[in-house]
Amino acid sequence: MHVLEVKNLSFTYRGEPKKALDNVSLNLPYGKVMILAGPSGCGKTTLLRAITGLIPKFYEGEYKGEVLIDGKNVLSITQRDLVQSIGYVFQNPENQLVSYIVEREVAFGLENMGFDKDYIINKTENILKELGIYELRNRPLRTLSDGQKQLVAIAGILVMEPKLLILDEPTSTLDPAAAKKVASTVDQIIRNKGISAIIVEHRIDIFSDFADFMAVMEAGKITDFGDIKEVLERYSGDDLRVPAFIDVQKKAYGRVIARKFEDYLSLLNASSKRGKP
Amino acid sequence: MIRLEDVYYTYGTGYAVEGISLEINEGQLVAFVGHNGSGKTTIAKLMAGIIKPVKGSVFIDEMDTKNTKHSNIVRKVGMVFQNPDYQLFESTVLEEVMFALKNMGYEKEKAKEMAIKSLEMFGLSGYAQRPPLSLSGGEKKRLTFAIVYAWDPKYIIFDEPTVGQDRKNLQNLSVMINELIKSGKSVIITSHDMEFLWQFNPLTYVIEKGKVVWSGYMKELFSQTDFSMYNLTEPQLSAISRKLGLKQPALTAEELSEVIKGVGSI
Repeated sequence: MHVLEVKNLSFTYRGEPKKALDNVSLNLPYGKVMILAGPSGCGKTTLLRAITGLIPKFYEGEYKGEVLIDGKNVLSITQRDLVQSIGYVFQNPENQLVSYIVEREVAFGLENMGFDKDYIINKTENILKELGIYELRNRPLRTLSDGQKQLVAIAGILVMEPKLLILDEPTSTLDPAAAKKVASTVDQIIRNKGISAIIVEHRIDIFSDFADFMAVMEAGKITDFGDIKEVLERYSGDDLRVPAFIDVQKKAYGRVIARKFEDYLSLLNASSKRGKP
Repeated sequence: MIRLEDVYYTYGTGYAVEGISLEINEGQLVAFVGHNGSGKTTIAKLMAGIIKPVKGSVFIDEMDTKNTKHSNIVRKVGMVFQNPDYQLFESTVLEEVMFALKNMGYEKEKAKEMAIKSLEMFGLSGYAQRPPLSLSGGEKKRLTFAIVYAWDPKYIIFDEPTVGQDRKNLQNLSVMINELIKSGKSVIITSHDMEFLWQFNPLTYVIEKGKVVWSGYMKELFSQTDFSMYNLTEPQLSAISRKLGLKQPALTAEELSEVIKGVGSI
């Protein structure tokens, strides 16, 4: 059983000559994390819009194929059920933050879903602590840095425990240390709660240790899909921001010897002890 | 030259920038690095004259930003914001690029010609008639580069330019930065993306809580034994170079792979 099934999906925006999605098919099993990668303008955002049902509900065009969430066609799911099934964290947190104070922002979704006050307070406190931003709870959002705002946006979605979490470049505004921390924290939370996730990222290294699958898109098509380590090794294109140590290995040895940076450094260490750098 | 003299700035509680003094010369590539909220963007805005110091002064070619009209500052300093949505408002991509040029007094036809050239440079010619806000995140970012490139200021500030950019766009950005430096412009980059900055070995200011805590070339920064105290992520090429015992760290994957090939496989 899959949390997400995309079957032969094609979409052309009204007035546009080319298909934005061209016969896209992919499945994501429950509890798994997938990175969706591809160059700017390849159709990643369009695919996310289709997965969330925004396409074709709010974007006109020619739509073929189907998207199933938890076994149901996304177009037949009520808006309320959809909100509980899919959580979407935007690339730019400004697009989704609506409250004045951090705590109220994180509680906003639960309040709208009609939970009782104690439950909301408890859940909100927990998620703020889990993401390490509890001390920000009483701060006005406008006083936060972009990175802090992104964490609040993530908290506001995770607190609703959706079945499928969609993160559109969630760490692009964060510094690497903060990005890694967010990645590992989000990973821990979603694994514990059994949430599945699709992560759109250019900086693949941030999530490559956590993700299970990777899909590569190009000009509206899925050009590769599978185990993330295998996809990264197969990848020979020029569009993705592959980690520097993978690049070095491909150029120096013609293949990837170590898939984790730490492993590669250990290999270099061991070989230099044998007298060869 | 851009000169900061004991500059302070506050958003209301505490100082976001505290007592910074530095000079940026023509033809220099300067990077401001540090964590989210360290004050990098505030420094960039001060240098672009968007905000004025509460104490101290910012001089752009001897013009004190506190008593210079913003229209005179923008002729010299162009800033590309981290979030492209903050600076896009025209109805088409072409008009967006032409907007600043027309404000600077260029005739419509000349402005159009300059805008088209800049859009070509950034691979956006096919989008000229599209509304800017219909572009993807990465495309919008490229558009903001094209806008500033078109008006050709002497000092160009990029606030987190690598955010949301794919590899090809980053390669284009690298080419653009190198060309700008060669042509005598100053390029100022605020970023936490050490992997991207590393190739340039820029003059680097490490910012923490609104203060400069280290300055020098980036190679020197990561060759120090105590660089970890600044909580910056070391570029992978720097770490690999050190493991290999290279006296001069490699700045690109090509350079490093050649060194590895030269000494045999592991």
